[in-house]
Amino acid sequence: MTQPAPGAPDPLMPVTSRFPLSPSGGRLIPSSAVPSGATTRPFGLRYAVKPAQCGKRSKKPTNKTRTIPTKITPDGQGAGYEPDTEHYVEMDEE
Amino acid sequence: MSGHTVLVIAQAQDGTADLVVDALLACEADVARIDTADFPGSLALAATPERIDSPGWLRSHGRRIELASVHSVYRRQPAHFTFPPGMSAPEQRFATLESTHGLGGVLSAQPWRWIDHPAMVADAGYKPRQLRVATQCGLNVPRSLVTNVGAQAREFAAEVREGLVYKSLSTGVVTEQDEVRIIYTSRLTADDLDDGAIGLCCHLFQEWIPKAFDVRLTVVGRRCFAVAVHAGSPEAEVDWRSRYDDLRYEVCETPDEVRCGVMAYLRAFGLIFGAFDFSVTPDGRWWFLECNPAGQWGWIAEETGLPIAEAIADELVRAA
Repeated sequence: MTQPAPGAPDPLMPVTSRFPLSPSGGRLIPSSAVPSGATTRPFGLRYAVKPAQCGKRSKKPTNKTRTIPTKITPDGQGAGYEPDTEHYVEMDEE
Repeated sequence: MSGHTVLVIAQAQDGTADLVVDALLACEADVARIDTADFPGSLALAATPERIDSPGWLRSHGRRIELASVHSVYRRQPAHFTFPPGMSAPEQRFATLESTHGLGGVLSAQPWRWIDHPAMVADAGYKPRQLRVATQCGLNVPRSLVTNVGAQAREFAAEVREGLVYKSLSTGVVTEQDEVRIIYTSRLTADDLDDGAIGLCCHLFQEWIPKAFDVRLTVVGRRCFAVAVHAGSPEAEVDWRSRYDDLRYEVCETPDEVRCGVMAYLRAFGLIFGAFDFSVTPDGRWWFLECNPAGQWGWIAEETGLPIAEAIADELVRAA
């Protein structure tokens, strides 16, 4: 069987996952669900912790480093967006 | 390609995308920026895919962008569409799928220079694939195991001399009890693996690399921006993302063999940009951990002064 070339479109990844969202998405859906229990909770979730807070000396990567939008519009002004109220991931990954 | 406009697809308040826009404007590029969160409210599309020379237009906040005028695209973590709050969940799902196939299908079909094309980014997001391609490209890759079989994990733990870590295969982010939680890389003992929950889904276990420091290597085209990340705490040593306040950054050189490897890696995935993570052992050997095809870089450019935004802008305005 011929091996697919690296970088070739992946049949496992539906096109709906490719655009406009990044593979992992940029927005989290808030949830109040509680952990299910030892017999049904995946092993990896044992290591889920609250993200560290941003310190003074070292900046933390974030998508939201400005509070005033700088979208380019024909008149050169910001578009007047309301601040996002969703949970956004502030981490190195997407 | 006759286009001249650089299209930036990013969230309106994405400060990292702002850096690229600033760099593009500094070299007098014609920049148009859209936010997919504006769709369909204030972002409009009219496309005629079969008309190669006149494929249609986007209109964002009153500005019309001819698709044929676009030369290149900087795409960074686009947002979800925003539909009217009154839409039911099935209606939103339908609208999302239709819009994804419509807007996403039109844009991704254009013959633009992308940083980076969404299909390539998606393909490059799979960590097992990353590890395989990195090995094929001559990079040092730690021994790794993807499994849902606890006995295999325990056998692997017995084989790796320096210990092992668990890391998530995807984002490792979960919201529970109204809180965001992140799975950082975690060191494990053999006792930790005596757990039936390993069988509940796939898990990635990897040999622990006893390192002197980590490196974040941001690659743009053929330019390498390597920064040594020195951990100031045991937690940061295991995963530097867990303790940003404990880090010290230092610009460093990229060894030739690593440079060749990452260039081959990006070629294999069809990418221009890659945010690579390496661990460097005391003997100077670089170990590939992963490559995020859409990773963050704005903060490290700011910490070090490295001209990453300018390199991205150069790639975007480069002639086809």
